Amino acid sequence: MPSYGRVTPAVIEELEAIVGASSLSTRPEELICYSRDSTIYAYSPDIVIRPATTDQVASILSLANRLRIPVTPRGGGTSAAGSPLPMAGGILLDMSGMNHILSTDVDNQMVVVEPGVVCDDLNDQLMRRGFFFPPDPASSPACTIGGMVNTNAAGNRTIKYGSTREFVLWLEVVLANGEVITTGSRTLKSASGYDLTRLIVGSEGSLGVVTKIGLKIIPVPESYATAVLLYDSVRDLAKAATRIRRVGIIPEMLEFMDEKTTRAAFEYAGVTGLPRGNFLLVDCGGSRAEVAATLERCTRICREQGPSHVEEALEPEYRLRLITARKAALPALARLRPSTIIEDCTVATTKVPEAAMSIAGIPLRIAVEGFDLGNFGHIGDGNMHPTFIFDERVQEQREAFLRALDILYHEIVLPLGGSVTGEHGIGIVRAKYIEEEHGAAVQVMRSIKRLLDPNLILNPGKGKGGPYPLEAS
Amino acid sequence: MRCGYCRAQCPTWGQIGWESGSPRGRMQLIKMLLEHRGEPNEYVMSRLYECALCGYCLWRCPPGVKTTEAITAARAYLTERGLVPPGAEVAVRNVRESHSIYDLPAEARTDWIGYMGLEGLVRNARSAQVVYFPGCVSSMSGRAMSIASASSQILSALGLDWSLLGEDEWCCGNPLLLSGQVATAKEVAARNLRTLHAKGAKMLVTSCPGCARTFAQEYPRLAGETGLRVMHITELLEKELASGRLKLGKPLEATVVYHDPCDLGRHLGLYEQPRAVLRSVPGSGLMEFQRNRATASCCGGGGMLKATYPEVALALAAKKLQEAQLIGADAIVSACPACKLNITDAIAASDSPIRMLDVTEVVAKAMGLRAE
Repeated sequence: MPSYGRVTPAVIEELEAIVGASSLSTRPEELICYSRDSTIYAYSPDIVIRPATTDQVASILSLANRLRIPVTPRGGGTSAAGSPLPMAGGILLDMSGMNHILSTDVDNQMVVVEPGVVCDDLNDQLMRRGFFFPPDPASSPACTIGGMVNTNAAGNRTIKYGSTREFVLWLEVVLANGEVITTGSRTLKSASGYDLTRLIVGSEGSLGVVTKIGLKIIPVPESYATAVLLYDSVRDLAKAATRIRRVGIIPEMLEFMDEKTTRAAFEYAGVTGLPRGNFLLVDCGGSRAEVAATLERCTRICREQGPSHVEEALEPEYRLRLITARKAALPALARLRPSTIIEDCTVATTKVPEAAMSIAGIPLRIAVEGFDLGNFGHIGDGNMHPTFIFDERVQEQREAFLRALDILYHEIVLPLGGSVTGEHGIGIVRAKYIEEEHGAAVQVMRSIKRLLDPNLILNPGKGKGGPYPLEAS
Repeated sequence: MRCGYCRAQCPTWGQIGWESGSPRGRMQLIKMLLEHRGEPNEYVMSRLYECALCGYCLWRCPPGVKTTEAITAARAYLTERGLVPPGAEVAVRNVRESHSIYDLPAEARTDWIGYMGLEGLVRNARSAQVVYFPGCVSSMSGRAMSIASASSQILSALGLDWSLLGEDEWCCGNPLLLSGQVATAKEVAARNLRTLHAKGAKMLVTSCPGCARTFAQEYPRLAGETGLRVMHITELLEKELASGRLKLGKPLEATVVYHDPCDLGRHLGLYEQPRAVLRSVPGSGLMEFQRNRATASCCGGGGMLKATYPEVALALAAKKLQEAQLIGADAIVSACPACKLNITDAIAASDSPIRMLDVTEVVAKAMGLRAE
């Protein structure tokens, strides 16, 4: 790690002058609360600050850059990668206080928000006007738009609408030196200048602190229709999903759960009357006239792969129950063991059967009692979430988890030409795999990082901008 | 999991803002204490008591962390170390010494009968199948006595063989449990059950969800099988409506929005009974808050918040009031005296014309009884 400045009493005094004493804390109890996300890692900041304005963020960064104090931004803290954990201590910026929806312009299909707005809160407001912001990670009740921008979050609807990146029109960003820039354009389309918006989206707070976000919004589909198919094998399920895409149908959702996860999710969500199997959910959206026909086409294609059961849901309530069952995958698995770590990888859709079978074999290879996994995800775009369940308090199981990560990425995902993250980001968890995935491009990433953050103060130690650990400057 | 799904809708986190004021943060503080990585102190105490124990996090938590149990256990741990907010200390002392949350003598428990002009109607019979248990707030708070009044008139009008415990009623013990004072709560539970059994009661009806939950869920744990059927009054009313014995003829002529009390809703699972009752009142125009039933936001009346951090409690009630105004309701209706108290205070602190009613008051009016 580079050599960083410390948060001294004099620094605290300067920070108090920027935000006021009630907007920062050095209380050990508070710092402990900010030291975790949903990974197994724990890193405490030296101070937490809750800024309220862009000017405050700019002043904080200007000071931090001058004194080489690390700065880590944090939204809802729902990261599954360790992204908001301050590995080098320093300043943690809790952006959740900047949580206003600044303007909604449905005529121009735009909304402007501060980074601390919670995803579901935004959609609650938008849906009253017949619009929505499609990316829907499972953490949408708690994750912030700023966090979603920083990880290029996606979710169940990505297959049809794309990820957060597709909906960010412009950003206000505070750079490491405190300078405030605006990227992109306040239009739905622009080819002007380098696409700095896309550079910042997914950068996990390593290139700047996002303080305003201009988003594109779209009308809510008029109607939906859903089917669930159960297959004896993931191979047949994956073939069905591939065929749907090949004939040009783009459903709202194309989701899967392996048999173990399906069993747990059905129990958790109270879904009864369906047999065991690997779960494929096909959700179609559009005009009332077309959804039933589209679903019928999808199920006809899926039946060619010999499902053991087909369940159609044209009524909204039953549709919601089936989707809830899919969304219950993670909470359901979380009830099986004390620790639940969800991973995130993507492969080409045709490689999903091979990847899924190999992933299913990881616990047997590790052979540590108490260590297991379930797999589920967005099969429509080849994005799986192998989820490890174990007890992190048991050293052997903790080590098993770290070995499992290596098997997953080194031996399965990357050899299949996949990516180590589809939507959760690199953070700490996947930092060591960056060079293996990107090769020489990592040097270009590092150059960009050093250009925008020469003192390496922004979210140091993480994989974005170069693998951990960063070399001393 | 530390997923944070509990955080965004936690009512007190919304007021406090710091991670330590969220359910996830509170669990981190408790872990810190258990693992001796930090000292119990006033800051930790304040965060653990700034929780309304509304149960949203309990409902929301994917792996099912028992958040409210952990917080009340942590409160007990802190109490043993002399860390109790003054408001909680007073309430607990009152329950121990005066057997109510107020520092009032036992006789004060029945003052509402005279204030509300119900002598002759309300009685403390030697024996009765049904005991109406108003609880401390309904019987001793001027802002909530109308609930006891309405409830008792309704029970009489239904022709039930019912009685009060009168001055023999002790606090149900909920405030003790909210501060983790389990040993004293056991004594209170045993004593209340002796009094109820001596009266031959087979059913306990209460208009307070906190009391209902305590009797239904905690008393078996504290004192063994109670031998009582415990009902919140809205359950009884819904049954009486369904059987045709309860007729609600007089119209309300107001649009009301129903607020789910946390103890009645999330903790006891009773969402539809109050709604069925309200829909049966002519002209009630029942509306819903955007977040309702299991996702309903707490009004701040619970968890001893009003005693320990009244400014936080009032801020939550003000938010509820604001929501009701946006919806365009004439009145907020709930089924809990603590909700009524806190939201009434928020109305008084504002210039809102919105009224705060209890379901029992709405029903009493619809039955042509004296409602307020």
